[in-house]
Amino acid sequence: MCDTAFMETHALPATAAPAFDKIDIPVWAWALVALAAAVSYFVMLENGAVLSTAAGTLHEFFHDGRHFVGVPCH
Amino acid sequence: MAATSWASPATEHPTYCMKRLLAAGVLAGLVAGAAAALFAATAGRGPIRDAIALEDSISHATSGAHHEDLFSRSTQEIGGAVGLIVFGLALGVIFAVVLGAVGPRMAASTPLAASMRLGCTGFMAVVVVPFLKYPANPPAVGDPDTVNERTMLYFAVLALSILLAWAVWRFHRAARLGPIAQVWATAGLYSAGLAVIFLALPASPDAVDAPADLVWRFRLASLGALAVLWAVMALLAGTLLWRPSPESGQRPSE
Repeated sequence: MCDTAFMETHALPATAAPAFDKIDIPVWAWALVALAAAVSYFVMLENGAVLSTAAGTLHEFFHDGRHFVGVPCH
Repeated sequence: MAATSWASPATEHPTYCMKRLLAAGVLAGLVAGAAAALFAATAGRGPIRDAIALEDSISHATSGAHHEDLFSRSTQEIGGAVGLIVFGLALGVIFAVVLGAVGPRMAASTPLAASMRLGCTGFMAVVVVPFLKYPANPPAVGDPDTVNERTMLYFAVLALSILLAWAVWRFHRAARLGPIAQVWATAGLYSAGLAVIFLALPASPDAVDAPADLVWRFRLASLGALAVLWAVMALLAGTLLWRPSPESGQRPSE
């Protein structure tokens, strides 16, 4: 049975949620997404496919994190 | 915040401006990365140490020479935590922008519900599906000769999985079927897409010869850390967005 009284008594007054309006996503926000993806790549994925020498240092420092993120490793 | 120049023409003062979304995403991502690092440091430390001990014993037995470590174990443990926090931050930025793009189009009743939906979808598409095809491996597993091939395969499954989730979501929004048929068609399409991805991509070229117990202890710790990261990020980002921007004219009743 659907008990509407329950809904009324348990509805918190502060739960009137704001509507999620449409916004235009500015170009710089998408650029930031690309930057974030690049940062993730260099921190987590770089195995020498792009950087060859500097990669080793990054790779070894973030070694444990890379494994936890589940990306391939040597 | 002043009147925003990027406000959509439809709504002069939208609920959230991009900066507001980004602030929520960045903060949520940082905290989520720290939570994941904490999880990894407790649940994942044992399997990583065991795997490295095994790796060292194998390299001693085969070459007799100990390869020079660039960083000590404790430095790598700190690096791992820093890596997860940086990764959380980057993921938070991406999450915020994608939430701004798809959140208003979701049939979600609150920003928190929209954030949780995106978090669940993102966890499935970015973590679970790639994990099912190419599961995470501890340090002792992995042939250096195949690392580039394995990286490419990992990117392929990641990209295809995200593309499939997006395409199926678009289908669900565009299809004009009955309410039950629409859900079944969406689930069927997603399943069929997953089957194609899993069958089309080759198996990992590496044989896993480390003990299965060790490998799976590590895999579960890895999956757990990523689950913590996504859950905390989605919960926190959605909660931080509970209050609309003041100039939007909307306000939660108190």
